[in-house]
Amino acid sequence: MTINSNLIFNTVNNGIIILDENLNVLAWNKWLEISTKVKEKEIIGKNLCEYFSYINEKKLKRKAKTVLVTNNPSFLSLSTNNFLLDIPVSNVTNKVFESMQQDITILPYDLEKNHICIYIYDNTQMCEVNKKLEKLNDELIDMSHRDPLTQIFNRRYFAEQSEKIKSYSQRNNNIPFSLITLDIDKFKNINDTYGHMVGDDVIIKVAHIIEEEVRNSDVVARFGGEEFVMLLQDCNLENAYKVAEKARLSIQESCVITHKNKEVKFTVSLGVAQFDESDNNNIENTLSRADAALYKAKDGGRNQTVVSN
Amino acid sequence: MKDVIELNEDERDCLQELMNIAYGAATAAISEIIGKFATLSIPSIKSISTVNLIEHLNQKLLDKNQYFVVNQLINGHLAGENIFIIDEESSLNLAREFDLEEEECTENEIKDIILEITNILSSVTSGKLAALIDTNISFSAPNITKINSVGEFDKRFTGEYSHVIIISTELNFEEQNIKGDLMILTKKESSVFLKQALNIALENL
Repeated sequence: MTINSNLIFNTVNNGIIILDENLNVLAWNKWLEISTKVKEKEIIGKNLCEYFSYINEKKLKRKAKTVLVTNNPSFLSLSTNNFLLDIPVSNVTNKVFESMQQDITILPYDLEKNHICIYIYDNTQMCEVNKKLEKLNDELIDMSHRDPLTQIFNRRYFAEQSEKIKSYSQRNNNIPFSLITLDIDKFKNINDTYGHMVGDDVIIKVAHIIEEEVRNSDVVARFGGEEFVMLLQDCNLENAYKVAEKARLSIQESCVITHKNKEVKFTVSLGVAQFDESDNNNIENTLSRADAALYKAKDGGRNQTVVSN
Repeated sequence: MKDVIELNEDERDCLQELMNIAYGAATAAISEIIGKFATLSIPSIKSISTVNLIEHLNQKLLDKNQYFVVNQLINGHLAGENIFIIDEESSLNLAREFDLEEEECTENEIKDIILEITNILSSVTSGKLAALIDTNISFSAPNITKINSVGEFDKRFTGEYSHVIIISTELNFEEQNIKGDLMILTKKESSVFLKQALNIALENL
């Protein structure tokens, strides 16, 4: 059987370019004529990188040389190059990319004449699907890290981040970091007096206030019920105490309004501890010390901050 | 079929000889492409299960912070995966050897250079080995990822390759302070083919 290579060249659903070693175009298939709107007769004999000035000539020449020396294919990966030829995508709806996302394979074509061949594959649809999956995946990860009621972080995220912050501290001459545990005072009374809806509003209000009192690099998490933890990076005990007191005073000044337009006031108690060598490299021990300080604050009359000694 | 395909001493020697020829071709190609002389160390050949693969990789990732890992799939009778691991500092030095100016040394351009060197090493060494044992292979496009520890290696390793033969070498450009590790991982059925091919080569000696 005789293979009609010209027919294949002009009907295949990929771009095919044949170039000499100086990157002058020797052949340009029909797919490219349609996709780029550049006719073969217009580009034949011209330098590809001069015609399309955005192409990185140095890189393409390097790839051409590799192909000719090794007699093996070389690739332009989508992870580092979105395209070789800038071809606008034709989607009317749901457009994710402005330009066609291309996988490029460069092959030796005629080693004696130093000719190479470039295949251009349109991978836009796969990239679109990947992009959407990545976005969904990010959303799922974010959801798994957040408390559904307050939208602040949950205990799982706290556990992940606390280990990272601990490692960062240990790599950097034990830069101090501290924990604040916080509990809403007499929360059961709020629930019993005003109902769970108001109780939820109080939890949300406290979450938002303490989130505003910390830096972006810190972590505020709801541990469950009316209990919260603040993880303060690059922060010693003294500064952590100041943050705790500021949060306590802000919460004392705030209120929620019931559907009957009644103002409900509330307070919190806080315990503060700095991660140190007594914790045996375990943040759970720091947390226990902060909790013990929190109970002292409760026992001492509530609406106060106690530092772990 | 045994879980681990062991190579006897003769087969191992034969493979080492074939790999030396393949590495010679790879270093000659690098020298022609960038005009620098690289060396590839004598291959270390191991037959291990993928459970031990992670441990093997761990030894490669000891003291540096970040690494680039490139994997390239090989198809045909020698099916498997070639992996190239290089630390960040070596990557930057490598980019300079490929004549990248300082302002061109962005992460994407550095990645592109690492993909290129992996493609050269991988295609020339595996291609030469395939030619020496009279078989054909093809290559998929390589993929690159940046990792901080061996724990970030793709978990599919253990599922995809129950057992591998690892042919491992170090790439060194001594003057340029560049060091990388190339590993050729062959799948179980490819290991059986390789063992048979080595025995044919030994008979023909």
